[in-house]
Amino acid sequence: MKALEADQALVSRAGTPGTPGSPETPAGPSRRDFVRLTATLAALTIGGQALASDHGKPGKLSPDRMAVLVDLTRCVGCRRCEWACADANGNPHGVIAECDDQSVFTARRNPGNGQFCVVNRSETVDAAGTPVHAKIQCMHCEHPPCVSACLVGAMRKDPTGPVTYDPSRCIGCRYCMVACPFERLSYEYDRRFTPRVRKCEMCRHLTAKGEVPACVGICPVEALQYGRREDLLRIAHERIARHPDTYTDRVYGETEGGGTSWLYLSARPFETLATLGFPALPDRSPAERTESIQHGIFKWGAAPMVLGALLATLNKVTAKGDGA
Amino acid sequence: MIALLAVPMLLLATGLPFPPTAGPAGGPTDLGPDVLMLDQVPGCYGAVRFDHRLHVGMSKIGDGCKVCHHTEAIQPCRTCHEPVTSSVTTDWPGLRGAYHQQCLSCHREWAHENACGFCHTDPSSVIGPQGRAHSAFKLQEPRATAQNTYVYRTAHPGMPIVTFHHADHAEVFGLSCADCHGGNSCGQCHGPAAQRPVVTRQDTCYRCHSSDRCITCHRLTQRPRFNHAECANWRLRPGHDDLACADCHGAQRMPGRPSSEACRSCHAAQSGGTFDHASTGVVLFGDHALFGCLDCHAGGDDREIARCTSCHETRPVAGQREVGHRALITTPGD
Repeated sequence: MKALEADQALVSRAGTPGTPGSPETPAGPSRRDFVRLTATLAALTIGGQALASDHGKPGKLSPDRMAVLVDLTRCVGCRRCEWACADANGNPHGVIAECDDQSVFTARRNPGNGQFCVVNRSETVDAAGTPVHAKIQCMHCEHPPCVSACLVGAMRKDPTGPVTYDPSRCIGCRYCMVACPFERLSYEYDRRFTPRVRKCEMCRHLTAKGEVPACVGICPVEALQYGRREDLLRIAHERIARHPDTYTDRVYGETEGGGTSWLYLSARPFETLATLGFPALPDRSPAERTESIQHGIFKWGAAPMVLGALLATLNKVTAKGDGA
Repeated sequence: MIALLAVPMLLLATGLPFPPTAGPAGGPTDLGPDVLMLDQVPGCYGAVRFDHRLHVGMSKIGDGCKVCHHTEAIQPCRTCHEPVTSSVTTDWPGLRGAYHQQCLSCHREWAHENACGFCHTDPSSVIGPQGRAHSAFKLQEPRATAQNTYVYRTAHPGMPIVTFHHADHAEVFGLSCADCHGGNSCGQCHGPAAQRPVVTRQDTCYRCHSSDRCITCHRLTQRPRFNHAECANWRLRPGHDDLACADCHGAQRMPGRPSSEACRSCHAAQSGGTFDHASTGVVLFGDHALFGCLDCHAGGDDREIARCTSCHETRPVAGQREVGHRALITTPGD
């Protein structure tokens, strides 16, 4: 605002009569002043926008943000979540009884265009001969690398939990897909004119109406629970404490990759479940490093200034050389 | 062997209004209803017909009613579990979650069965409350299997070999699965990946065998299957050979010598209340009447087996009373 006032002052000063060169012209700003004013306003507008945007920045999450807790010891691999997900998101699906087809478990599947979540089965079994079934989908990271990588803000981390995607902004660069540490994003390569990135959005169209995500709602064993992330973490740790022989003492997603909105409990150590979709990730989001580098370079406009200074120096040196 | 445990489970869904069959009324020993219709959970499927009585039978291998009802106080699932799950702030399953978690915790381990149709059957295949579709489920039932004989090499310095004839214990001694394997889960005995169920000497062997009599189990060599004539050195003839072990041996530790009271409990009835040895044609004189049955009948239940020479010598021995005329009490074959 101070700058604006200063500009106005400048305008009023510039408008004083008796400026040399044009005594007969009416009082008004000179061309130079006009350019200066316009440039200042433009800078303010752009700068203000840039400041107002929280794009890719952590620390804006609601303490009441929602999450889903998955208990892998309960999941029986009935694949009803896959069906409900497809149904709720307008993806193609057959009748519900087709979910009983267990042959799909022979191949490792990843969420794709027509299927935002899939259930995989471990190849190994536990002492009782039971395999582990694990539903995987977008993990809705707390500090999502896809959001950080998105050039145009099509990917956004909603303060209430979900990572959302706006196809109207998307330019199809697919940086988000490269950035995702879980490799859960897919792209409509077969859609010629308006391809979209496809991912789970935690059924935000349902949660907006007060319902739970479709997969959570249909899970017959209640292996999935939807609630505040804080509550679910408490529940998860209480469950581990209550049944220390049943669970491995870790909630996957609490800190992995900077934390995720999907939290997993398991009987087996998650290190043994890497192929089921539980990669070993550091506690910091991969986005943190890239952002610290990128934002560090451009902090206070340091990079352009240094570059400008370098260029000017180079120019001067070169010009001297030419003159000699 | 463990056929008892492999009682086929029966869970059928129906849309037909079968009323639950009432079980015996009231009381903590009540076995509950025969059949329950689980129809309070809204969802894609119709009601599930739950054969409660079948599961009561199965629960004996585990912790009894507590296996499903959690506590000694038996109450319906819906008393604590709400039909509609709304809470996401507590770790308390709704009715649907409770049903599925409870049922599948055994079914999945037992049969590795997670197809919904196992319980949510086609309504056309529903059988009335009085009918039990055992035959249909016998096809799916993974029976428990066990070897007839297990041979263990132990660290016992003198007698390292322990031969355990599982078939003898299950078939000859008449033990049920739960007698030794109580507390094991279904899947430990049943199913493709069945493990050897956990048994401990303390809870199983020592209930029937003395822990301080090593030779009961430990030998230098492998033992043959149980044969009462060879192992107990007492032949069993018809009349005795179809009795249960406990009919003669009672609750005593095995191997054990049956008491004379055990013999009299049957033989007294045959001779009208009180057993009189004279009714067999042999009168017991003097101190002989004080002997236990097995003192004379030492080798089996053949009437001719009682021997004088086990006590008496034909010649006088110092310190032993001479019996008058040997021919009077000797057996013809002797």
